Amino acid sequence: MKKKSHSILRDSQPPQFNMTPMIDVVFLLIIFFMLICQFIVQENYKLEIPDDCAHAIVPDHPDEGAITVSVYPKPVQDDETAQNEVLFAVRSYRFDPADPRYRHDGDLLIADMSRQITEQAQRKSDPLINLRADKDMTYGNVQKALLALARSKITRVQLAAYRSEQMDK
Amino acid sequence: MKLYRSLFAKYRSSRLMQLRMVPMIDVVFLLLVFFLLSANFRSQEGFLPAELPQYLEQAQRLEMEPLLIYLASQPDGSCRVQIGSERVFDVSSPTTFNQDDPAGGSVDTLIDFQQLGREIQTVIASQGRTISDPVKLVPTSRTKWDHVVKTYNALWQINLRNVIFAMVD
Repeated sequence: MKKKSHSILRDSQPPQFNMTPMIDVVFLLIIFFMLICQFIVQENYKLEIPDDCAHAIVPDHPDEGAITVSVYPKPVQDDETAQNEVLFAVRSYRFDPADPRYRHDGDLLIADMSRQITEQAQRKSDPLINLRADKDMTYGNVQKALLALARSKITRVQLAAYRSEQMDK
Repeated sequence: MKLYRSLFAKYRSSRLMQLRMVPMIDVVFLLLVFFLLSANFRSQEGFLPAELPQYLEQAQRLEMEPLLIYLASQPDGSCRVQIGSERVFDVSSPTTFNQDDPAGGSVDTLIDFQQLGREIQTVIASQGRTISDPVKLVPTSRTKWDHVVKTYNALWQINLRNVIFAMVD
C-alpha cells in the first residue's frame, strides 16, 4: 500500500518543458534555409571592383531588385595553370567562355547572356543593372557583358566602384 | 473544497516547471560563431551611373562628332590617355604616382586621374565644345577596366554625363 502511494506521487509531478527536440528542429530549419538561400551567396563573387572613384554614389536604400552582372577572374585551381581566364555571371547564372559550346562561337556566349538578362529584366518595369567587373579585367572582356546588356535593350546601368581607396586588399 | 486545497498544496510543494536556458544559450552561441565565420562580408559599394544606348539594327548618326578619348594600359601600371588628336598623357593612380618616371615619346606629362578631368575640360573648352556634348571612350581590348572606370569617374568630376563606350575588336 505504501509503495503504491509513492508511485502516484511520482506520476503527479508537473510536466517539464523539454528543449532538446525543439533545438533539433530549429537546427534542421536553419540547415534547410541555408541550403535554399545559397543562390544569394553565389551572387557575391570574389572580385575587386575599381576603387578611388570619388564620384561613385553609395545609395542610402540599395535597389533590391537590381540585376547583378559580374565579370570576374576564373579561380585558379591547384591543378590548373591557366590564368587570365574570365567568368561571367548574370545573378547566380554563370557563363564560362571556356565551355566547348562557346569556345568556337563567341557570339553564342553573348546571346546566352543576353537571353538570361532579358529573362531577369522582364520581371521589372524599369530594370537596373549593377555591373560588377574586376578591376584587372580587360575592357575586351567587360565589353562582352556590355554587348549582352545592349542586346537586351537595357539602358540603366551602374558601374560598381569604391569611393575611396581600398586598404583591405 | 478540502480535496482542492490538498491538491493545490501538493502542486506548490512540487517543483515548478523550469525553462532550461543553458543548452539554448550554448546552441545560440554556436550558431553565432558559425555565421560569423561563414559570412562573407563585403564593403559597401558605390556606383557610377551610366546609360547605354538603345540597341539599334542600324547605327544612329550622332548630331555632333564626339570627342574621342583613347585609353591604353601600359606595362608599368599607368594608362596612356590621348584626348582627341591633341594631347597624350600618362595617367597613374596616386598610389603608383612617381614623378621620377620618365615620360617617353610625345607624352606630355605624368598626371593622376583627378588632373586628367581638368585636362579634358581644357581640351573641351579649346575646341568650343560644351559639357553636354558627347565624349567617346575608346579603350583597346587590353585596357584594364580599372583605367576605364577611373577615366569615367574623371568625366563625372567635370559634370560630363554624355559618355559613350566604344566597341572594339
